[in-house]
Amino acid sequence: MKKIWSVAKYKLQYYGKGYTFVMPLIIICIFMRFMYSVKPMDVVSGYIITVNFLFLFMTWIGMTETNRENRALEQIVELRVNKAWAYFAGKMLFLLMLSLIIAALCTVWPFVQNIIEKGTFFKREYLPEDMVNGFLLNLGSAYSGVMLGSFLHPDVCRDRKPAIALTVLFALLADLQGILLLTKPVLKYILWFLPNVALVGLHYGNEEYFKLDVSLGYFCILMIYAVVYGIIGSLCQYKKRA
Amino acid sequence: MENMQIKLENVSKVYDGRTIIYPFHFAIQKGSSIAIVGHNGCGKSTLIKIMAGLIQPTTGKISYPNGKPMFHYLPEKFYPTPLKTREYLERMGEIDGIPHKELKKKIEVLAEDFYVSEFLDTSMKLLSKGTLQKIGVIQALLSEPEVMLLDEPLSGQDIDSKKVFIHKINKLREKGITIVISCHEKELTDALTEKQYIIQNGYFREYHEKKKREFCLLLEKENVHKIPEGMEKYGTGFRLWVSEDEADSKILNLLQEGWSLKGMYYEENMECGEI
Repeated sequence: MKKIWSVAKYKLQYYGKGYTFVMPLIIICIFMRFMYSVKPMDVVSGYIITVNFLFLFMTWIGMTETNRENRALEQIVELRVNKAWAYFAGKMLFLLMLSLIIAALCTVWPFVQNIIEKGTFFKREYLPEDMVNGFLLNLGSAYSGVMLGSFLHPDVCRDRKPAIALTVLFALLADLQGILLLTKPVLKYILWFLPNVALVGLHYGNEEYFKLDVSLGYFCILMIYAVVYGIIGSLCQYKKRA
Repeated sequence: MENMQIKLENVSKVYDGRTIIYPFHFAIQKGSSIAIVGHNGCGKSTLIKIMAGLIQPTTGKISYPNGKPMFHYLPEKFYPTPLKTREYLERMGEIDGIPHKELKKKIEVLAEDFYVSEFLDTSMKLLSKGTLQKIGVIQALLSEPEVMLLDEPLSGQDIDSKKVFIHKINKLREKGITIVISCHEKELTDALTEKQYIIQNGYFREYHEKKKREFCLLLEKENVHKIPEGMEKYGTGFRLWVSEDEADSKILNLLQEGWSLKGMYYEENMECGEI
């Protein structure tokens, strides 16, 4: 367990010190600024739009982080850990930590915006449950996105052009799955391997308040997708090493 | 079997249709120290990675009869990270499970041994190639693994660091740690390994030296109008290559002709012997 944590800590420090987080941070801040620029705003729909954006955004983060990996340095770490599964678990934990940070930022932003606007930013009162539900949905979306983005690792798909094209395609299909299934329900037999991020929005629709059991359910589904991507991706990486 | 640490059975490697290593069987005993030699691009690094399980062989399998050993690895090229040197070594030491106080002290001691103390708080991206390689060596020496894999460990190293490195690795050998080195330098293989193996034209086999030594004589003489046959200008003087057999008589003749012997060194003309 300690080794897994040490790997995650190393990768997080590597990510932070490399300043690769600067551009993504700027992008997410610009998005949030524009998202929460018109008042009065609906609490639920604000978070749902963020959930959908976050999935695509984190897919990009996962993909770029994977492409940036230095094979030789990673091999040093993997051998030190001695157990391949622990090394891959450390990587998954690192991506979870990254998702937690981004999800927290996107959850707290509207809350802070509301405080700045002296509680008048939303159509109704902002409740503590909104932050809890918003965080769960943001985290589920972020983690499933980043794990999808990191799935086609260079060890799995050496040619990066098709890897990037496929990842973008999968991310878009996942985000638009809700609308696609409404027009063509048969697509569910093809798209089942992608998390239906849009379903969150379709379910909540014009709801004024979150329901914790519903949000928790979607959170669990998205996290399961994330973990499955991580496990299968790690197995593929391990088997396909050339 | 009890002492066997790494076993390679019918292992081969093919890249893009080109056979790098033809199928072979090999076993590394615990506590042994071996070198893998061969020309650039012959597959030495590939073989080391196969031994560690970092890459899959095309055919055959790797097994560890007594459980997968703890490997420490120094790659051929050690890349910088965005971290400071100390931070990087601390992270590696943490993964090893070294307690924090002990880790700090170890880093300081190893940095001093390898003359890189002044670079501990410098970003690795600002380090020279040689210094980076030293950091690579240090990370491999932070704790004692069961197997040390060293791929061209002395690339870009100064003479003092080479001496320290040889001393440290020999200390690990005394403790029974298995050493696998890939390198070109004969002084390293002589100082650190019991056996050498070569990858030649894709075939992995034991390496027997057939030594034919040649001496290089560094000579000086005043008023040389015509450079004698076989000699070439070298700095302010001349140099001449002679075989070991004829060195004595040649030197005597040159001295009698008024030449002054200013220096002498030898190189070994290696040929791989048959097993």
